Amino acid sequence: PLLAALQAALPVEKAPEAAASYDAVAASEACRRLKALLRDNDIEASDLLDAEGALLRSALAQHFAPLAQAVMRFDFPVALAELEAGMQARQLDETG
Amino acid sequence: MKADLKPGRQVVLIVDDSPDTLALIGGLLQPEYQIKVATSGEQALLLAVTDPPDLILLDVTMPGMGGHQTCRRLKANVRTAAIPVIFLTARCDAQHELLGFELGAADYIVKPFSPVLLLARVRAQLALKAMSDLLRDQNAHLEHEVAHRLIEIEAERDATVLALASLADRDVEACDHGRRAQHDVRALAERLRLNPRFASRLSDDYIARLSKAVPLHDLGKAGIPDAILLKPGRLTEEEFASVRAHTTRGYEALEQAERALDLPVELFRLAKEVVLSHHEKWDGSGYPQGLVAEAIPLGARLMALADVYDALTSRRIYKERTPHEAAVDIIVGGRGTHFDPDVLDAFVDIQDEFLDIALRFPDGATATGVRVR
Repeated sequence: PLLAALQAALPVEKAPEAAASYDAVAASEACRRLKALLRDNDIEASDLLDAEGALLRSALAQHFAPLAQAVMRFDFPVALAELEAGMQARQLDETG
Repeated sequence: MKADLKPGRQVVLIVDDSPDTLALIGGLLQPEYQIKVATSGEQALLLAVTDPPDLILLDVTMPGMGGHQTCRRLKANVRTAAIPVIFLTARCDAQHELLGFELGAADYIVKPFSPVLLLARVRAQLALKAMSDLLRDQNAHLEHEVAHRLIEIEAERDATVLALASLADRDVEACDHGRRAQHDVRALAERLRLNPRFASRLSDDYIARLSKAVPLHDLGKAGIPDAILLKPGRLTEEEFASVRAHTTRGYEALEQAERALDLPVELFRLAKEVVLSHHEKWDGSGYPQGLVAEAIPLGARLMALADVYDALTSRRIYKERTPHEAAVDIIVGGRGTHFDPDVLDAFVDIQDEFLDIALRFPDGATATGVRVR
């Protein structure tokens, strides 16, 4: 399922601004949960990425693909940095 | 941040540089445990120290810090030393495996492994870990409980001793006398142990027990009628004999209590010496046994001096207070006749401490009791 999510994610890189409509509240919540799991090096980060792939891809735009790749390698520190960069760029308020 | 975790689940940290292995083992264990992953030894150490897991599955061959080195570091850190480590390796030779166990590994799993067997071995280690955690918690709880009870028991004993002493010793405000005498004897003993001849006998433990026994020294006065003990005038020979008997009466009371318990009481061993012999004199002219010099137990020799100093410098029903300097002169006059010369020399060295103790615990300082008259 992770690989599927990745494959689905990759093409989006070419059109980062295309993802205009997504639920910002749900995206913020998903990002917050993912951040907690990555910080904790918890393997559930992969499951969350699978489950919320579409939403996160829309929300994080060009940051999603490198994030997903790092998660696939279980390189959680890199994934965390990418997620934080994406959250900041897209103004996904952590507390929102 | 921990809100996302399922509480109460045991945590397994899997350390492997291969994402495939991490995904495989992680997927296998995830239904039962919370799984954390690290792709290097360095990362594993950081994670283990920050938030110690319950078990670590550690790949032996990794770039950078290998599994053996990582295990060595884990076992050297007090925060992580107790975490069981299972090695994962593709190499299957006895020498290699042995090294793992020498480094403190709990188990050794050779890749490729049977998923069922891996799960079984992880379960076994985690069951052991849960049991040893429980025991450690219980031990800590018990230690705490024992320390707490010990403080309570000691306080009960000290209070009982002081209450008993104040019942017996009606001619002084015994609580204050008892506390002053405790401090005097302790100060004297601590000075005397600087003398090499006494150093080994006056251990911390001995001094602590002696000072606990001190307030009991006049226990036997409980048996002396008020008409005699509180008599302002001169005592008749018969009356004086009755006063002198307080040493043997007190001794017998302690003996009897010990016999009733059918158990030697460590506090009483010293207390009996002090109670019986604190009126003995170095030259043999004291009572009740007329013991001479070293035959008088050391605790009693210390007690004798502290008792005389306190008697001189306190007001009694039949006499006024003697000033400190005059009391010191009188005591020094008893060197080698009344008092052990070594004990007396120690007293001369620390006489200021005696004065200080007298000022810190004046009569009536604990005055809930009634001044006897």
